[in-house]
Amino acid sequence: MIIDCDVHINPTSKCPMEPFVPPRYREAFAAKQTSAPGHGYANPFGVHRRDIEPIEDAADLMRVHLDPLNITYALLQPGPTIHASLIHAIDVANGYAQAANDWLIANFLEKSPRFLGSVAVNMNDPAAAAAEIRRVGGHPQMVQVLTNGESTHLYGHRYYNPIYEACCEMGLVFAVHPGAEGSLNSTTPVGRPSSYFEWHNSLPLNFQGHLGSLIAEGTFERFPELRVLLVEGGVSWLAPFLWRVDKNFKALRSTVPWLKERPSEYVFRHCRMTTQPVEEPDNPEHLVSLFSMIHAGRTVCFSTDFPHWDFDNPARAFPSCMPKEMKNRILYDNAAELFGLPARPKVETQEVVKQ
Amino acid sequence: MSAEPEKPCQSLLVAFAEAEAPKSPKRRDKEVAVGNASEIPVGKCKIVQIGHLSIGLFHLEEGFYALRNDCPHQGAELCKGSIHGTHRPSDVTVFDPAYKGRIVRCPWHGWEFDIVSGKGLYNAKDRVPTYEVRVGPDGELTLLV
Ligand code: FES
Repeated sequence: MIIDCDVHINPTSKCPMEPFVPPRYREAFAAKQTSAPGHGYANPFGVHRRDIEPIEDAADLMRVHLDPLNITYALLQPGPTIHASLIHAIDVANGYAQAANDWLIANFLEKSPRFLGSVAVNMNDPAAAAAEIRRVGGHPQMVQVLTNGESTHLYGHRYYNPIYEACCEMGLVFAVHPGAEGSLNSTTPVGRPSSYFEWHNSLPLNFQGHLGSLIAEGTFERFPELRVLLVEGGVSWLAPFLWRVDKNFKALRSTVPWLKERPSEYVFRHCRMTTQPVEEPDNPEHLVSLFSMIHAGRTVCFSTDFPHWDFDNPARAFPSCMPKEMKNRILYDNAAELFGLPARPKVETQEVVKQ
Repeated sequence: MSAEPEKPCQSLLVAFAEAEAPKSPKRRDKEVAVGNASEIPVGKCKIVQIGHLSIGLFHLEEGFYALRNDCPHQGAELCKGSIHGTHRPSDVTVFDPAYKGRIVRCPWHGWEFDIVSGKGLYNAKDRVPTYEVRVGPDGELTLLV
C-alpha cells in the first residue's frame, strides 16, 4: 500500500476552473487581475514527464498514475493552490483560492475517495484564509492546507497565527510545497541563482528558513495540535540542521524562553517531510543513515511529484539496503497516521515481512 | 523504530525545577581556607586552586557559592564567564526574567549554568559540581572539598 503525498493537478479544458470563480471576481479574472510575479527559473527541458500525455481529468490521473503504481491514496497538490498566495491583488487572491477549492472538490475529491485534497488559501490575508479553511476544510477528503515556500514573512511569524488556529480547529495539516521561490526574495540570501539548476539546488534553504522560524517563534508551543508537512524540500539536510539548532539552543535558549524542549523534539513531533526528489548519494547506505538520524520511520512520507520530471518511482526510489520496516512506514504508515487514514491491514504487514 | 509520537521530554522544566529547589552540595570533609569575604565584592568571582581542583568562589546577593571551574562541554574555565540572569520557561511571547546575578555563562560557547545548583539550564542532565562555602565571624572563607 502506498500513499503518494505529492501529486500535481491543474485546470484543463476538460475541467476548467472558471465556472468555480465566485461571480463577484469574474470581471477581475477576465481583466487578468490574477497576475502574480514569477520566479523566472523555467526548466529549459520542461517540468512535465514526456512519457505520458497531459492529465486532463480525474479518470486520466487514476488510469495513468494511481492504478499502475498501486497507489492507495494520492494527496493532490493543485497548481492554483500552490500559487494562490502570490497573486498581487489580495481580494482576487481570496477569490482564486475559493475557486481552486471548489474546482478541486467537484473535479477530483468527488470522483474518488482515493484522492486527498489540499485547501487553497491566500496567506496574505490570514483572516480570509482562516475563513476559507473553515468553509471547505470540513470536507472529509480535505486533509491539509497548502501553500508555497515563497512568502511575505517566515512562517513562524505571528501574522499567520489565524491560519494555524483554523488548521488545528479543522484537524488539517499545514503543508508547504515549492513553486514560487524567487518571485519575491532571492532563493539564496547572498544573491540570485543564475540557472534553474542552481535555483532547484537552493530550495532547501527556503524550507530551512521557514522551519527555523516555526521552531523559534514558538508556533508549536502555541499550537500543540499543529502538524506541518514539508513537501519536496529535501530530507537529508534535516539532521545536520537540527544538530546546529539543538546546539545553539544550549547557549541561546534564554532568547526564546517559550521553547521548553530541545528544538529537534518539536520537529520530530510536529513535522513530516516528503521524500521526492530523494537524495541519491554514491553509497546508498549513507541515505539510510541520514534517514535513521531523523527517525524517518516516523517522520518521512513518500511522494512522487507526479507528473513532473523529477518523479520518484516507489519501486525504485529507495535503496535495497533500506530496512523493510522503514520503507513500509515511509510508503504508507507515516502519511496514514498524519492524515488519519486507515491503517495497513494486518495480513499485508505479515506478507511484507515474509518477502 | 516506533510509530508512536515521541512524548515531549520537558527536560528543561526539570532543570529549572532543580534551580528553584537547589540540592545542597555533596558532603565533603576537607576544610580549606580560601581567603576573606572582603576580597570578593557581590557579583564577582575568585578562582582558587586546591591541588588539581580549580574552583570558582562566587559572591552572590544570596551568599557565597562555589562551582568547579570546568565546563562539562569542552572544559573551558567556566567561572571566568559572565554573570547575569536568564529567562524562565514561559508562554509564547512572554519574557519572564529570573535568577538575576545567579547565572554564569561559559566563556567559550555560552552555555548557561545556575551558580547555586550547578545545573545547566538547557537540559536535565548536565551539572557542574558545587561545593559548600562557610563564612566565619570575621569573613574567613572556608571551602569544603
Ligand atoms: S566549553 Fe563551556 S560551553 Fe563549551
